[in-house]
Amino acid sequence: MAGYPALAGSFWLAAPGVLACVLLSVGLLLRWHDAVTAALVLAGGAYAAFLLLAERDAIDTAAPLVAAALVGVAELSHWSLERGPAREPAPLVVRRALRLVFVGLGAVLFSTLVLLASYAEVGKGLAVEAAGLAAALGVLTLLAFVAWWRGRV
Amino acid sequence: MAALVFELPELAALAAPFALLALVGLLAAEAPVLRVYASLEPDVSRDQVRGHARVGQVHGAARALEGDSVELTIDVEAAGPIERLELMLTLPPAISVLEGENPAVARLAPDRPWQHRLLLRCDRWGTYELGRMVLRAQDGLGFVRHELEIARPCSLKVFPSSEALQLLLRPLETQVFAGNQVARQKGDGIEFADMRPFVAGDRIRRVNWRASARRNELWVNEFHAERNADVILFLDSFTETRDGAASTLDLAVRAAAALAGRYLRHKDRVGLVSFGGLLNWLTPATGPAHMYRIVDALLDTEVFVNYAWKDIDVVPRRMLPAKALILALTPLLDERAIGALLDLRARGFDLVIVEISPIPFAEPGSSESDRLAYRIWQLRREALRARYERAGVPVAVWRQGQGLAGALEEVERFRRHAPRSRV
Repeated sequence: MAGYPALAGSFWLAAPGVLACVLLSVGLLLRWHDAVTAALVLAGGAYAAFLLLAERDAIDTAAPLVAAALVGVAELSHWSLERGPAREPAPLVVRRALRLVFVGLGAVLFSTLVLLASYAEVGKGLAVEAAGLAAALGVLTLLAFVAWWRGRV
Repeated sequence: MAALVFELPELAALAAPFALLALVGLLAAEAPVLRVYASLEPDVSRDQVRGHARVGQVHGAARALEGDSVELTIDVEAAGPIERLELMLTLPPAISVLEGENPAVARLAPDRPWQHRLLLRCDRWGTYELGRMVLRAQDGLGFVRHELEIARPCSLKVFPSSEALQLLLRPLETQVFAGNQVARQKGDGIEFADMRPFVAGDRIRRVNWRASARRNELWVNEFHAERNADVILFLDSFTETRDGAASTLDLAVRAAAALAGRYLRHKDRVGLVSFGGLLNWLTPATGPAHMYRIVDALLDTEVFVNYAWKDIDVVPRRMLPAKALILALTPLLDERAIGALLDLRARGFDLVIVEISPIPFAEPGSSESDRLAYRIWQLRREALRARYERAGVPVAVWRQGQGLAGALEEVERFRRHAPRSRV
């Protein structure tokens, strides 16, 4: 995933990818949560830079896979860093692994749906832009509210 | 937002799964409702294997001997499903897990309570409160964790393991009540003492017919009376030397428990004086219930650092009955205890010192001066023992790994030959 921009032709974006891999390794080895988070942000940022700066003719159809990979890496690294019993019961491990697979598949599916929605002909104009902005702000507000509410409960 | 600004739908596709996961995870997470019960049971199966059941329940508290194992059962019921529940039991250092996982993890369903069993080994004597635990519940997507520290107290009393004792020190003086000790006084008993001419009132059954036939007059046998004795266990808890799990105080407590048990079985009255930073005492009494009182008092024995000077006057007079045998269990390290013991001897008490040797717990050191200091320290200890012996106090050295019976035999040998004297 970190090497995807470089493989797609933007070789100059290999450096952040390598740095993300190093940060992730260091974070996992030293059980340093911040390094893992920084590695994920860096990898996502490298992909965003690739989308912004690379010369492309069409939408990058691999975006859902990149999103799923990011989700998968985040989940797996979090699992690795978790402090818990030395030996977990096998059924729990299997359940968690299956859940991870489903989360990954769900991420691909949902990301694809979002990408497909961008193809929809809904016209252009200030109203559509405003609606899009409102939707994005609404999602962020909703997330913030739910997080605040959960924190109180 | 960036997707809209830069017209890059891929960015929206990249962020969408994270947003959805966060939203679903936060909405689905619920605070768990748990019911937790803990119970402590003796590990009966192991006791049966060993051929005897030593562990039981007394006054709501489980009790066990050092080295025994007990089973702690924790039942957890959840009102709703919990994807992952971690349970960590906080254990005192002297209790170790023999079987079972700690921390443990499980998935809980409302209709399926989780029973977690832990087989615990009691490594050291003492009174412990088990059942303090930390529970950490996590929802399906792992976004919210609820952590709870609770206590379901289960008292566990671990009694010190008993030292094998065949021989008991006989006190020089006995008391007036019937017991198993052969008294110096003559009276009703079975141990032959002497013969004397018959006087009016003597029982016919006491007439020694063989002696009477030789002397042409009636002679009767006299016997030693069988009386009980008062034994005071004097535990020096001013200081201790420790090497890992073992210490001089541990040994002293084990010896005290063994001696108390044996003397009480002989119908003697046993008292306890814990002479240290904290003074504690138990008046002399007899009977099986008193054994539990003594062991309970021993379990509370700890070394409290205290710089106040204490002498024997702080011990209540009724704690030191006349003609009592005082068995001091001491490492002979603290000047206050050393002085108090000499004071007891000066007051005419029948004093015996079992020295819990601190030497195995102390390393000589690597440098020449360290080794020299170590030798001087040993010589000073020998001088101290000689001082006690000059005062007519037998000092038996008891080392870790040796039998207590050997130390007591040393005392008996001293008593056979040494004159009784006072300082």
